[in-house]
Amino acid sequence: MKLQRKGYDMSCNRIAFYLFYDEYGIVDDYILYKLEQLKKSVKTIFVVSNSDLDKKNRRKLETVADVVYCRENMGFDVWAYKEALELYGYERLNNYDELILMNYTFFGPIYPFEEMFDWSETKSVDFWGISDHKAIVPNPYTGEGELPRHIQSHFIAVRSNMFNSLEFKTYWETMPMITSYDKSVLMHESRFTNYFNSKGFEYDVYCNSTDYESHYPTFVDIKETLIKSRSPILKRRLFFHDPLFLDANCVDLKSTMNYIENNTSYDVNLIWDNILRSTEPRVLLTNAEHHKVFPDIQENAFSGEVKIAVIAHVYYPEMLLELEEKIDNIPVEFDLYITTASEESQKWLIEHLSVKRCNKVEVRIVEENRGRDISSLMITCKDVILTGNYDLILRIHSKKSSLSRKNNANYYKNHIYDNLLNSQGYVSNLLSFLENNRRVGICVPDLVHYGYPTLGHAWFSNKQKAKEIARMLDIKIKFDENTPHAAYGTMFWFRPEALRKLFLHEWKWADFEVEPCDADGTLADVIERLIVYTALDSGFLCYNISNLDSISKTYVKLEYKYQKIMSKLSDADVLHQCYNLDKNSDEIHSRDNEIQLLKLQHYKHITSLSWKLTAPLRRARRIITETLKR
Amino acid sequence: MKRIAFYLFYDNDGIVDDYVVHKLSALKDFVERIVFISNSPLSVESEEKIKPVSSDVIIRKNIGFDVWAYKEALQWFGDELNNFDEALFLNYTFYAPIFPFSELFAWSERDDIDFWGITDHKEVIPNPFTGAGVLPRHIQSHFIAVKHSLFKTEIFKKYWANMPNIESYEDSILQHESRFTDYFSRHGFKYDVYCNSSLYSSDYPAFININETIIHRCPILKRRPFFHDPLWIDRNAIDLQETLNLVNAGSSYDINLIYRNLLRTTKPKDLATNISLLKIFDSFDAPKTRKDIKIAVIAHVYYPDMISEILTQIENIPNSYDLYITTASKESQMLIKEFLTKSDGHFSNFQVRVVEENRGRDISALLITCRDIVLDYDYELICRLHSKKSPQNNPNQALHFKKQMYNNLVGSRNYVSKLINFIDSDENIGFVSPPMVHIGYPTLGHAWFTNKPGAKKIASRLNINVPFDDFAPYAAYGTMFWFRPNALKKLFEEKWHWSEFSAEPSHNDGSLAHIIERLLIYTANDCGYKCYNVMSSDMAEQNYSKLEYKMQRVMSNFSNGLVQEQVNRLQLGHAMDGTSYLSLNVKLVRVLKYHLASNYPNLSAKLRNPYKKCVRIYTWIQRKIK
Repeated sequence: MKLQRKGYDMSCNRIAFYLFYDEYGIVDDYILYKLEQLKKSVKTIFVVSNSDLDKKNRRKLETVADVVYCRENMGFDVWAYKEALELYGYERLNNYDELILMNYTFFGPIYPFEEMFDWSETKSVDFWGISDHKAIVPNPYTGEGELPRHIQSHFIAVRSNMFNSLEFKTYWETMPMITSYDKSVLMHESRFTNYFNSKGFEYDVYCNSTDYESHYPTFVDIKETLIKSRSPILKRRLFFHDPLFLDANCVDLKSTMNYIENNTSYDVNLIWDNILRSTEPRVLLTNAEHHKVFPDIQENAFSGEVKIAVIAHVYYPEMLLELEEKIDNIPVEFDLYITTASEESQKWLIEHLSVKRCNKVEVRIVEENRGRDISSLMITCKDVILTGNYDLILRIHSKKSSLSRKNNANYYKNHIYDNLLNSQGYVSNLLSFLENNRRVGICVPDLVHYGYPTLGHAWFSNKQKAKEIARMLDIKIKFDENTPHAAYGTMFWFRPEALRKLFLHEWKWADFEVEPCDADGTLADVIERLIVYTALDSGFLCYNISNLDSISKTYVKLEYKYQKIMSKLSDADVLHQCYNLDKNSDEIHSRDNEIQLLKLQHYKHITSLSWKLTAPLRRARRIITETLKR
Repeated sequence: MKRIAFYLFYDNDGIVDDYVVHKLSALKDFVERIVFISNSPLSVESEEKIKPVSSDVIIRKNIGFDVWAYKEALQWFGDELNNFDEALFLNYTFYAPIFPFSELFAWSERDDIDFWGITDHKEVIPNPFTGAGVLPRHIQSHFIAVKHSLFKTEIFKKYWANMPNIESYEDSILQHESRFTDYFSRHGFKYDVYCNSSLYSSDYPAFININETIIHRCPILKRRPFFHDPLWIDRNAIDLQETLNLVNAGSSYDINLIYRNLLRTTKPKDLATNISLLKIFDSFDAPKTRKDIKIAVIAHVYYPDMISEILTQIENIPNSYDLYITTASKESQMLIKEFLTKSDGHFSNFQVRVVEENRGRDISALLITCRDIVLDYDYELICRLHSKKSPQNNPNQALHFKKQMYNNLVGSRNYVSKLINFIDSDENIGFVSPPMVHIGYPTLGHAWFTNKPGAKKIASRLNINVPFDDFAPYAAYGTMFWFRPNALKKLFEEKWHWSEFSAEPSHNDGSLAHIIERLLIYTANDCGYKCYNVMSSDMAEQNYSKLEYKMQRVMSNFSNGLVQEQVNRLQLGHAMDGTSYLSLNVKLVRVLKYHLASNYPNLSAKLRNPYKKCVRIYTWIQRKIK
């Protein structure tokens, strides 16, 4: 495709070097879309992949790229560009007027790239970029000197007089090996602009930081950059960056996403496809604010064109009445499946059951009393989910308060029931929300923290086992560090497709622990924590849902606890308070994170005083065991 | 049955609230003689209040807690007691009668018991006060009735005669409350409890299962849960909002008696947390508001270019209203007047005033320039807003702050209708403001900043006696809010002078404006008005997700998610503060202790006893040396 502009044809004269990296080597559609759109203005696209590719993904890239070059992940983006330029050959670049170095770290084009290229053609500069970062003193990477103002390396365009210059070649030839993220910023990203500018090459920026107050407008003033500068890019990092940073800077990602969805032609599903796979669920929940509060009054009448099933595990038949009352709040017709523990309860339930708007009732008996409500769902009701007869399913069960801490158990139960089925109006609002947001695959009540020490620790002892089960089910979600985004209490609304992976597995009764079993770390506890992960892994969004009363109560209690804790720390700047205590997840480092952590733990262990003091004992034991063997 | 009641009273400020009078007058139907014993001096007004409902008033020094108050009263009465069939020992620590006393006394009129009570506490092992032995099951001392068959005996007289001096709260529990029941039941006297703990799951039903006891028609409601440490209430998932709802719905007890007492005596933030004073409104539909509410909007518009924005927000008020604008200069006044004359807003009148001096920002403009509006014009509701630009913050932060204020006070027509209806539905709601901003601002837990000492001074000048929150004030941070003029009367009646406010540009923490910002809710609580935080459901979604994450992140750095435990530990570590009065040795030992306790739980358990012994030897040597 050729674009005729201002009497001359620029589209033929650009070449783009596109850096690709993905932990699993998966090429998401946002990359293809971006490259397809780019192709309208660029003649040749050279893709350098810093990650391994399988055949399928390579093919995918090859549909839009002219060259695909897959290399070892060495030297970060800098060496990828360096190698690609060298392989392609500087002399062959002579055929082009403009050279673009760009990468995978942003979604786009939110607005057509042509707008931006049109703008660039009016500028007689030697190089340009989409966005830049203001100068910072002192340089945060070195602690001294200045981090100069620089065009960000996710998109730099260089005109022929510059890339044909000796300086350009020297720049790349003398580039040292890059061994860390910091070094890549110091040696390339923050150096490039100043290096060439000080040698007589002029530059300009499309979305210029001088128009904004913050240092990094495309990260901090995102919505403004879209409206004011019509910036064509949205950084990926916004979704998985430390929420404390976003919080400190009041970055409003949610309203930006709403803006993109309602005012531009960019398909936000491209974003979710990639982000769901690569972001810790709780970080995503916080940054994108996937929390909905529904009132009890109905905004619009619910159309009702939806097939609903309710799957209830009623272990305690005496709780039937309470459950029925709640289930009656579903405003449309549905099928009801009940599982229970014994034949007597089955008989009793069939006799006493009276639910409004219920088409069909089936009462099943679980074969074995193990795995609580989880096994009854996974095994006894497997067919209900897998047949594909339903659009939406509500999972609920009779949650009995154990005698100790009755208040707490009661509160927990009400928290869940009320946030799933508060009133007819509430459920109508919830159903219309799900109707209008097909991407949302599961809705869960928010984490209960009133009366439960869950905050920051809700993995309890289930994380290791959850990782094993996730591997078994091929769930590749990034695991939350401290508290998984999960359906605590295992009651939730879901689309059957969202949890298919979980139900396709042949669970056996023997997999579950025999009752009574109060310990943490059972398979049931682990699956409880994997339900949301499964939905996210299947490409669905998960929303927390609350009613007005519940959210106001939990908000007050949460705020108080937070205030109390923070009042004992030197100030309320959480970012600063957490800074020394935990590490930020960084996509580039993430592969090594776990190994590093283990190494660090091991190191701490062997250098600890107690370990050193007990060293003679160990030596003695070793000598004894060795002599005994002999 | 002829009864005598010994009623113990104590209040820090010597004020007798209406709940006491109500309780005693209800009791009067069943009790011949009520002896009112006050452990605190009483104000003249209070004494007058108490006279019609009590036969004798004894005002004594606050010595020996409740125990010695009873002991002295019994001594004073001597043998006269024998004229009665039953003696009641009760105190001020509960609200009653939630359900008629007649039910209670009807139940108690039986011959098989010698003493009885309303609530009891289960046996606890080990005794939490001594760390060893048993805290026996006991009738709680807030209400113990003793029949003639017991109080005529020598054992009863001996019990009181041998009562040792009570020097602490623990003493009073060990020597009396937890001892009384066990002592007399060992001597063969029979007792029963109206609201029996054996029917409940917790040790202390009147506190922990408070809602169940109400459902079972327990006639009393303890005061303590409402002002107790919210972290403890949280850990035990006690739903006090529900308690008040239950009382309101199920009994004829006037719930405002409770509020009036609590508002005066409880730390505002603790109270707001315990009874969840936050309302979240959606903006789905538009309910009708009462047509004749007299509403005024008082807005400080320092930047005249912001009048258009602020007016669009104000126009979300569904009723007609009077608009008062204050601004800094004559020129601004001109511009604003011009704008308002041309605008098609639905305000009935407007006035644009110029502040006399440019100091104190929006606070002085409200308290001085608009004093007459609040005091003299009898508006029912006033909405306070100002043009917020916050040039000191980055634009994102300022934008969010503005959103937090405007969206939660005048967000949309539907939202404001619901907000107005909410305030209108309860004349005791005197003040509503958005929750404290926390996104982008390091406020939570530290919002006193340096203003607490100054605030205490001003509070005593205004005669505001509400206890102060320890770590963070319950405040209308940002000074935008809705209020009833009467709720802030004390603040407006004070004659403020321009010179008291800091001149620009030294508008810093510690200035009078910042202090008053933090005193607004204290003033309203002091006047007996409830103060709510209000939020729109959209803002709640945002605020909640961010707050939850922050909390998770902070808590993940501690050994578990038990907030109370972690706060206690941090408090220990807090001893290392430069400001702490402890000597360096003590500090070092504490840090070591903290370190051991958190990192080597097994080791520290083993070391505990030897450590205690060492401490004992150490203190013994110290004493010897002296």
